Amino acid sequence: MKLSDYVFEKQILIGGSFKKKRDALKELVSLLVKNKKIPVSRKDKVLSSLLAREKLGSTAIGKGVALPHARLDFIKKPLLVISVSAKGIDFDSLDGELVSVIFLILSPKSSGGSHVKLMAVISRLLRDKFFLERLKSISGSKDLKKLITTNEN
Amino acid sequence: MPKIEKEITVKNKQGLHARPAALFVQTAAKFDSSVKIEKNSELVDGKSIMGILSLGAESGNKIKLIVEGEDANAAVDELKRILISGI
Repeated sequence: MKLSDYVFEKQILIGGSFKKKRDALKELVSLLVKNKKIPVSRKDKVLSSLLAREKLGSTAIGKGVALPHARLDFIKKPLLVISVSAKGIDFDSLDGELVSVIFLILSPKSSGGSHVKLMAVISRLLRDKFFLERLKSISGSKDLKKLITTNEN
Repeated sequence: MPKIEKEITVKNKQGLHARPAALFVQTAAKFDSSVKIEKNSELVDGKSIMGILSLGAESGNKIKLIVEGEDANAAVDELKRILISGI
């Protein structure tokens, strides 16, 4: 599975000014609606599913990164939205660090395997501290897409 | 220091996804022992959610738990339970 197949410039948000988890998730879901990846009628359902998952335990995975996610029956193939913000967001992370990088994942309800694989390819890249440093200081969506494409192999 | 290596088949229905990974890390953090997980000769830190997720371990996959330290026995017992649970 190649991460770049799921990365689109229009689904990247750099420099979002949100400070709260809920606001961040809301804005990232709005981006998917704006790009017609999910119908506006499903927006609230998507947001409430993401928030319900956060209630089970934070999806922050350490080092200022979070992978909020939800599995939904009206999603046909995995959707990804990436956010890099200068201001950290309180994500209730285990290590107490504020989150500045978000990979939001919406997956089809039935595809357990591809969901875990997508998280694996993202985490594999993030494990590289040089990649993570560059990601956190990225200034444009185009650069972010390029950074992922050149580092995923 | 005691070092325990234990092969375990992942039983979590959706594999080692975010929730069991977080639970694993929270549990591992309670012990002084170092915790590592190996899959297909790739070794990651068992006290890092990012590390565990990067393995992409699915249900039925074999992984090796490598725990080293004075409390290794107790740690393996607890950690094993998470990997074979249904979460």
